[in-house]
Amino acid sequence: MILFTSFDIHEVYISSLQMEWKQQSGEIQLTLQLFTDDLETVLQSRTDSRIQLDPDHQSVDSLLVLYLNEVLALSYFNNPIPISYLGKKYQDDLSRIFISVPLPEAVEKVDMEYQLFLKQFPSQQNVVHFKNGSYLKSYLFDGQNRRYSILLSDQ
Amino acid sequence: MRTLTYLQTSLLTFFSFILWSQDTPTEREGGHLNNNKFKQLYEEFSTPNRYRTASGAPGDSYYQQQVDYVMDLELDDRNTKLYGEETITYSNNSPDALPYLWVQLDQNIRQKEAPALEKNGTGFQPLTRASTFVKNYMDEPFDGGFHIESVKTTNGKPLSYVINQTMMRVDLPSPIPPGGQYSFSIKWWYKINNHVTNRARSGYEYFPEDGNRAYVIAQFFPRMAVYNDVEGWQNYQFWGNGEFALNFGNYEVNLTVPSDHVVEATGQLQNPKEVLSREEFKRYKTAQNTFDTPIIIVSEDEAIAKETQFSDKKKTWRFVADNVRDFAFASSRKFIWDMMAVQVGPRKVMAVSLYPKEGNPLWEDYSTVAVAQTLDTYSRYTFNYPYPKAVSVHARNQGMEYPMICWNYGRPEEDGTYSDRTKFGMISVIIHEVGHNYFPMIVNSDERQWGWMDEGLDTFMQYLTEQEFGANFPEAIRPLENYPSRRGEPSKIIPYMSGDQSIISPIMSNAENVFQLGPNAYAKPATALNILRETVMGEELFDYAFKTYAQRWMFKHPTPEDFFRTMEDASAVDLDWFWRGWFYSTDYVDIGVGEVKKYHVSSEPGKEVYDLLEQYNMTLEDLPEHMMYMVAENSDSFDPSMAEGSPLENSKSLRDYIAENNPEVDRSDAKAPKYFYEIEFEKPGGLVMPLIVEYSYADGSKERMTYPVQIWRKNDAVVRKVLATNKELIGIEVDPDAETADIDTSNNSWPQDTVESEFDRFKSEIKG
Ligand SMILES: [Zn+2]
Repeated sequence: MILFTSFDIHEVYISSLQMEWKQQSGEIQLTLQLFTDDLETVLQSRTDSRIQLDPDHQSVDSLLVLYLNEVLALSYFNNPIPISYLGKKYQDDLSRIFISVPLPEAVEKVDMEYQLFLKQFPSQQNVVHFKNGSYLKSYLFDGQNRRYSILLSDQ
Repeated sequence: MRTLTYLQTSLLTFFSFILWSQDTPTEREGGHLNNNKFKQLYEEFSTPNRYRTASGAPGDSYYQQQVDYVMDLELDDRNTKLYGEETITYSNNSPDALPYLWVQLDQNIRQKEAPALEKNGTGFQPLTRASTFVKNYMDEPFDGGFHIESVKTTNGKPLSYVINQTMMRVDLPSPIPPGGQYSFSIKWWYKINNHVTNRARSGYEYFPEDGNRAYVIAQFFPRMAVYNDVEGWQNYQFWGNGEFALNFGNYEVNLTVPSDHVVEATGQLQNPKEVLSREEFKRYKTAQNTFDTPIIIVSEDEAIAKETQFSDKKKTWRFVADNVRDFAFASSRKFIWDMMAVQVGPRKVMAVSLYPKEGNPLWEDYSTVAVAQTLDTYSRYTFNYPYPKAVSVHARNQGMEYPMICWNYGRPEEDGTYSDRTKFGMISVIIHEVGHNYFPMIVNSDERQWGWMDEGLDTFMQYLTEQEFGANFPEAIRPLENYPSRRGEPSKIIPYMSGDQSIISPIMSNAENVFQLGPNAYAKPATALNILRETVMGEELFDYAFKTYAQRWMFKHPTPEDFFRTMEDASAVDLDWFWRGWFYSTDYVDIGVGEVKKYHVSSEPGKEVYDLLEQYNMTLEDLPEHMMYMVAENSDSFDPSMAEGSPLENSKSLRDYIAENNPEVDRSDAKAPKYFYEIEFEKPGGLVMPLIVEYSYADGSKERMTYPVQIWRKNDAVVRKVLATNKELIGIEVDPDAETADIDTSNNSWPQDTVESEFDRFKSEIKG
């Protein structure tokens, strides 16, 4: 048997998001890695056209930015923090999406609401790895856990 | 490493003396059990016995049951139902009398009240699509469970039986004694599901444009459970993830389908002349001796012409298969059919493809050649493919294996174009599923319990085959130089192994209970085997041991220990540490370089020596003769002049020692290394691995060292190595070729590189 396609009976849906706070440059750097098939299915389900995620095909950036803003929301003390999409890369069957989140002042924590693919694949698991220097912490977002407060350091 | 000179040896001794004295504990600690990473796996492994030996081979009392099937099947295309009547002949080769038999009813997972439908927790969505809402809360659930019409003796008397979910216990009039045989029959039918909408390994795809269906039918008949020395009856329920445990046996199957259907199945077709047209039969005969290119038996135009027929007539295709563990078939009037002969060792095997026109042009170009490549590569690493054919059937969104036949995805767009992702996905899945003929169809492990034994080994072999496919068909992968394998390379498992421990399970876990089945049963074991082959054992030792395992357990039922033991038995490489770390734990690799100290030979003792002497209440005079003094470059006692002379010039003790012990050595020739480094390697990761280091010198040269994994056996966190050299050291890199799946490479070099993150690299690229 082979796994990993979106349609597989076994529903192995997973993505990983590396989230690194760079205090000097005043930003949180997000690198989202997911299966291109899954992203294609989700973007297709939101439009009528048969879009393809492929470097040789039309750009889907505007659709993607819209989608990312819908499923990823960061805030602190109820102030939303805008996210800024930088671009994406395809490698084999994976896509990497690069997002910058400006965070000029030091804050204790940010609140994160994250529901990537949850509407389409209820058993989707989204793992977030937060890093600040040597401080590491992982969070598992899924159908039951859509919100966390991300502590930016262990103090 | 070059052999140590007596000089280096004495230096080493001196270093360890200092280290030992520094490490003397001051508080008394409690005792502990043996937690050594190199401890042998006596506790994890079961005791060897006469069924399974300590060497990993079948023992002299090894047995397995034989189950033969004679089946009459009928596919009702109009009503999407499948009818069957089967006679099972069970041969009890075990030493035990069996009062009842367990039969697997896998289709019962599709009963509308199946417990498997409720096996996962759910959460309520505040926002939901209407279609999902209707599916979840309003639709009448599909009822695809078995309808068992009768279970009878060969004399037609009913047998009593009890169904527990997907398992049926058949109670026998009297126990089957050891060596005995028992035959009985089961009559059944079930409603076939749409495998595209129901996401299943078996069912039909419906094509709304022409109203036809393509059937790929598997785990569709009541099948005997396995009885063996390890599990007794393997009657762990079918919950959907854990695949199958099945017996070897012989099959005779009469399969009745609409007369315009084309059929492929496990086994040799017995009546091609009856079921094929004259022209098709002629092509079929030609293909049996055509080795260079696939012969089309049913062309795309011929298949399209049949799409509107919907024949009411029937035809019966007869198949016979020897020594297989299962039977599956594909049937549709939409199928295009091609095949060619492949020489595998001494025998001829047919490589076959079956696909609707929706698969073209991809399928006619690549399916049959991918099948042929798989037979070739796998046979060289294991054993010659023993069956007469291997069939690749195109089914939407499927990748699933059965003996001699498998279903594979990979569909072009409606206009016939396809992306590289679709093409490589299709070739890879064909290699993977055809490869499953070896594991688990022939090396018949228990998939219900150990998903990794077939998926992990098969995914590992898939990687080797894909790379050979790329080398043999460069035009198929152009402009790439290597086939873009998705799994196998160590770097690709890092995101998984560095992930949150709360959602990682050891490989040695049941498929139903792991959080991430993909990495767990496929990618991690495949990568582990790849690392074992390339980095730990070397190809020669690995390949021989792997082949030994495959040949020992060909047409038998191995357990994980049979694999682990054979790999050691045939190679003389102790691998208990490897199995413990990679298969029984969720530890990861992280090895780095720590402090690097440079030492010089001095004529005078430095402060450190005096401190040491004071600690032991000794003076210089108490030391034995010919002591040499080493001073670290960053210590207070260091004087830049020490870096100038050679060790011979700087140490009277050394000159005296050589003069007394080796007067014949010309002092000017004595090769004393000029530079001494003490390098600390640290291991934040739990896995022990060989320590692969590249040293770079000031003259531009590099030297690669592999310290054996045993270096960690007495200290699991830190080891130090002395490097004595005539060249100045300017750089150290651990795991320079990224072959160990080291999850954090920021500590892998000295002096420490500031490694640009992928994010920063991307940022500078787009600014570029
Ligand atoms: Zn598989």
